[in-house]
Amino acid sequence: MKRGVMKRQLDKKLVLERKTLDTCYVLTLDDDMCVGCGICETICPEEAPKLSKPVTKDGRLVEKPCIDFDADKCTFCGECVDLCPTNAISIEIDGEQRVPILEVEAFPIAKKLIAIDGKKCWLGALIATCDIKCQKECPTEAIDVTVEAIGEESAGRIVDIKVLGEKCIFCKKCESACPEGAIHVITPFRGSLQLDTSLCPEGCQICADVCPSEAISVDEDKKLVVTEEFCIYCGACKQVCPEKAIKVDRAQVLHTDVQSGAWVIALEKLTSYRPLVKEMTRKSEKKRRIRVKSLAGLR
Amino acid sequence: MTKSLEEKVIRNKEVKQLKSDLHKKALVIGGGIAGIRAALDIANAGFPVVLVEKRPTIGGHMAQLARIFPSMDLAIDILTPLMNEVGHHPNVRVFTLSEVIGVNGHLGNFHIRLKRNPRLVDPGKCDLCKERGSAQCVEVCPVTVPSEFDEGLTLRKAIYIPFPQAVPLTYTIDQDVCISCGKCAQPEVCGPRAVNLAEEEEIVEEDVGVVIVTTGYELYGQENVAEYGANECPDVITSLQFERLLSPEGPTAGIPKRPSDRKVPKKIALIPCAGSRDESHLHHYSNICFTYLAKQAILFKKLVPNGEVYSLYGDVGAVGENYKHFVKRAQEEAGVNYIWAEVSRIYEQDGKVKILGVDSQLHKSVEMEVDMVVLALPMVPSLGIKDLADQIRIEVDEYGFPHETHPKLRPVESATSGIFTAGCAQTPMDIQSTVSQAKAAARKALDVLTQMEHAPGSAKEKVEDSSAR
Repeated sequence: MKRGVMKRQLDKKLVLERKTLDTCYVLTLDDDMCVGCGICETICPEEAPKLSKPVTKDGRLVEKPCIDFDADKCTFCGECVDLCPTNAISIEIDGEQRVPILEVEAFPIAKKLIAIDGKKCWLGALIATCDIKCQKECPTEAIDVTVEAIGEESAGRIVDIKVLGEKCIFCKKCESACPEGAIHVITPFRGSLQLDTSLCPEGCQICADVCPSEAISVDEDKKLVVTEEFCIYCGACKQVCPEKAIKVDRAQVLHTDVQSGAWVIALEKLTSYRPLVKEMTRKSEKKRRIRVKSLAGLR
Repeated sequence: MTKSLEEKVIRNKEVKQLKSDLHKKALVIGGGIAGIRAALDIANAGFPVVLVEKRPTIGGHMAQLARIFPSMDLAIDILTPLMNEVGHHPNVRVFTLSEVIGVNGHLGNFHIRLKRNPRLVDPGKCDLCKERGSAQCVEVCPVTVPSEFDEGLTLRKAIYIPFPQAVPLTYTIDQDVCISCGKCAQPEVCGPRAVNLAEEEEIVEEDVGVVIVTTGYELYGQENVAEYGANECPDVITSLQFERLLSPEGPTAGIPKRPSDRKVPKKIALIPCAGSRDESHLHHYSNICFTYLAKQAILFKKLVPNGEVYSLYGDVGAVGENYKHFVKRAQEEAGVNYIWAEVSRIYEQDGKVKILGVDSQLHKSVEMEVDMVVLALPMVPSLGIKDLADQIRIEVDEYGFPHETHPKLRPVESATSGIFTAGCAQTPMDIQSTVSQAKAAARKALDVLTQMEHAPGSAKEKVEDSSAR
């Protein structure tokens, strides 16, 4: 069935709209937030998203890879919404933000967390002690600290801290910047990032340009520096690297406990065979333990 | 010369008649009204029939229609008894979700290979959740796609029943869109454990004597007629969508509402031949579009008494018994304004649909603002008929429809003996003609099946005789 989905480009947003007599589904891809990592392309069960090639010039990124959706293939299930590391995709059903696949518990929720410890960073603290580094360091402007000025210009007091969930990419930059250790972040993906600088062409810094969390950065000598602590393992750098010098291996995905065949398929695509086997074994062991316990309880 | 002839005659040998087995079984490809009627006629005569349908249910396009002209009966009321009869007939084996992938042999002895796509739900175990009230598997399915039966006006899940009167009446998982989350297969969702996601496709082989091709039609894609605003305006709909809107069992329960804002349209325009008999689109004529639009106009006027209907036609194409009177009825009863005009462009403006065209009678430009436009898109051969025609070695005409041998004297025979065509597979036609063609094809098939044995060499033999003279 062709009829139903209309694709439009609305100021830096790709909108898929499926309007029927009873419901209206809208999938929005924010081009500004999208880093072109291609995770949605990897996991989509219908192969609807397609990643374009990046545009580079003299070792700098001109245009990052973009995602284009095949309007006829998308079933609005929401797997991509759940797993997008930069929250670039959202689905609205009749004007309400919803993710169908999570509503019926047919897919686990990727575990993402950012928490601010109120004991260590209390409201009313003077900003002179921390210089509101969390807000300054955040690459996506997701932390909004309201400051009340007292007397002089530089002095002030923290009145309120807000984390904008739709902007946060859980990169841990704020966690490492906070001198009080008040912020705690959990990134859904775990793994390893390897950059073989011997393969890098002279003066190339495309990967550093695309990295959303500044895990790859350029130092004063124009050399690439990897800070793996900040890596969210999205793999956007791997997509743009002209020399295949970057290896991003995802070894684990933190998620809620849900039985789903779709997750097994997605996990294998996201990571590899090994982590999948690991997770399966862990699950079966857990099941066995529960069974043994219940048997013991019966006796 | 006489001597040489004499010599030849001396050496002539007696020609033995070749004999081969006759499989007293028929294959009907396509489970629409034509296929159902043909299968029933053969089965009632006492011969086994294999009915193959590629969709999950038989019924075809007729099941989607609201009412049928000229009697204005509910289409589903007429079709359902036939569907159930053929579905439960002891002589008929219905293969749904199946396709013909190979045909070998000749008249009386065709060897057929069928591919049965998995349904993924065991019809024997599925109890349709009668005790629970609503189907649990449908509720937990996260995938939604436009419903084929409602022509994309509503959504369905990946696990679904096409429509309530479907035969066989059981759930199907659409393998193309299923993301295999396994939610419906869980024991707490499906009590009788009818869902089997591991089911695989199956190849079935059958030997039959005759084949009847009743593959029906499809509507020309709306996206192909961009000048009629098909891609931008949601309120430009196809005739089949309008049929669903007019149907009492349709998505709006019989009150026509336009798709964009779900309001009842007051002023509608009907455009017959949108894309057919057109140099830039298709050349053939849809035969019935003018008449069914007249029917839709009468139905619309009954449901929306204060509505206005305009028909921008190129030709009055009301062929068939009493159909001219039927169009007259549309004019008098429903007050349809027939305007002889050529439409050049349709677009959306301020929530209304704007039509631009030329009045062919007054030679003036026409500008019209309406709430909804119904396009009678051309009827084209159903997808895959080309492959099937190659397989069973039948001829197709320039538009892709399987050809009859002689339009007057042999209307249901194809060039290959033993293969017959009927209904919209052959050319666009109304239900009345479709059924009479199906009955004719069934009769021709029975002619073959009732012979005790078959001698394929007989025709050749006659040719040799004449050369000897």
